[in-house]
Amino acid sequence: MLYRMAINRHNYEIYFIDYHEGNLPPDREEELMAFLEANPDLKKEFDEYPEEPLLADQNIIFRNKKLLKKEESSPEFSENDQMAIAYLEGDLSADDKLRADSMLNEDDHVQQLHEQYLSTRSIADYSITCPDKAELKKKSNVAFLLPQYLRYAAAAAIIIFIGITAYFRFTPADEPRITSLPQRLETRPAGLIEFQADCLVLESRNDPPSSIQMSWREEGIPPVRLASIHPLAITPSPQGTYAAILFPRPFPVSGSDVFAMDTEVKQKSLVGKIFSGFFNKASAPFSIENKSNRAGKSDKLSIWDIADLGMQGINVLGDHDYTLVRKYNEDGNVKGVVVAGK
Amino acid sequence: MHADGVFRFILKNLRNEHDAQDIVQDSFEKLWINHKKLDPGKAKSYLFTTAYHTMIDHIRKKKYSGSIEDIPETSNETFRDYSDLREILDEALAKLNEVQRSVVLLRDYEGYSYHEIGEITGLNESQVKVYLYRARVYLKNYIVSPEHVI
Repeated sequence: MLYRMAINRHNYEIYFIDYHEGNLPPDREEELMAFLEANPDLKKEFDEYPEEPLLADQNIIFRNKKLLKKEESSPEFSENDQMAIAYLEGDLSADDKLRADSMLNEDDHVQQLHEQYLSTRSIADYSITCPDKAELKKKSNVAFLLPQYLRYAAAAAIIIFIGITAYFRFTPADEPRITSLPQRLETRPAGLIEFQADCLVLESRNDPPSSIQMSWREEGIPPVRLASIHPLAITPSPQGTYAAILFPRPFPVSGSDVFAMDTEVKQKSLVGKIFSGFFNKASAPFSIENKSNRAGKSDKLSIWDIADLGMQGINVLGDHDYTLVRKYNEDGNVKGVVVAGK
Repeated sequence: MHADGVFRFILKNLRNEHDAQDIVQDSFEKLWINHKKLDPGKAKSYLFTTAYHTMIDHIRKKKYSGSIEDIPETSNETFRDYSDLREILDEALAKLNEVQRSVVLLRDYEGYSYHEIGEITGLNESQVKVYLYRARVYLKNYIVSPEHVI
């Protein structure tokens, strides 16, 4: 670089950088040191430039130096260049700016130089905009996109929780439930003498079905469609009519059982009432349920009742319309459960 | 949103819209990751700083892999007929090194002070000033050279 002008407070940075980069000629070094003595306030800034601690090995040389040479000559700083750029960048003091203004008015060359530097200013093209700005917006931190199986698992956990809660808090229903029938033997239809404990008992709050497909737990017994249903006991309740329908086994049996209506009404707790309401709503769509409420069994809620209860609780809380639909195999055992919803 | 400003700045440097868009997206992603640690008033500066350093890394990687497109050199033998000063200036800007070009663009496009440009580029104020002055001289000499006179 050529140094056309003496070091001053407007151009000292070039001297500083070139000195620390080892590019300052010796005569300019002396000038720089004299300047620093005259301007001690800049000494600190001068010292802040990093020194080069490593000395180059002069024995290592690069052979193809020609390749490194640039075509263009290095930029030169004349005093007028310095002033014109400082004027453009607003770096001049008030006094220097006044001086520059007068030079601009009086000297055509300075005026031309100023215009040339003005033309080096880049103007942004505001018609260029960033495409797909929507992609730059912040995405939600929580992506509530659970896999489907996790949703079912969460629903199952809630069902189990509600079911267990109901199991321990729910008092037996005040609706009639069929247990045994010692006093109602006279209501048995003619011809149905023998009853087995594992006869199927259906409950319905509506009218008994006109026919039903029967499957038996014992292997080798084909399913039977009963066209004639004989209600053994019909008990009205606030929710509808309860019908107990006993189906005899289609083979000789030994022994018999008796059935009766247990109409004892027990007081329910508040929680029990709530869950009872859920339960009633849940079971309403099923006019006939394939509940094999075996006679003689405990009157506690079955696991399916609990599941239905939990599901209905979910429906009420979440305004859903899900139902648990159970699939039975030929043996009458549950082979699967499907959560169905609209 | 400072997306347009950052995009223009990077695009002017790289002259590749796809790469510029990638860098802007990368910068915004980093901004959102670190936004809790940032002073809201520093978001723009953070974006430019991140974009600048990402761009420098990008240029270095491309240079290293040899895939960077060389800027077409203007023939000195033929006199080119320019009808637009902006074209000449763009060509001159493209010939600056990335640091000098960035300093000029940050100064001219965004009006940043030497101090702010220093924060973005990692230079001290004096270095910014010297780089800017030298870039101005180079641009002026390029524009007024006989083959580029309009």
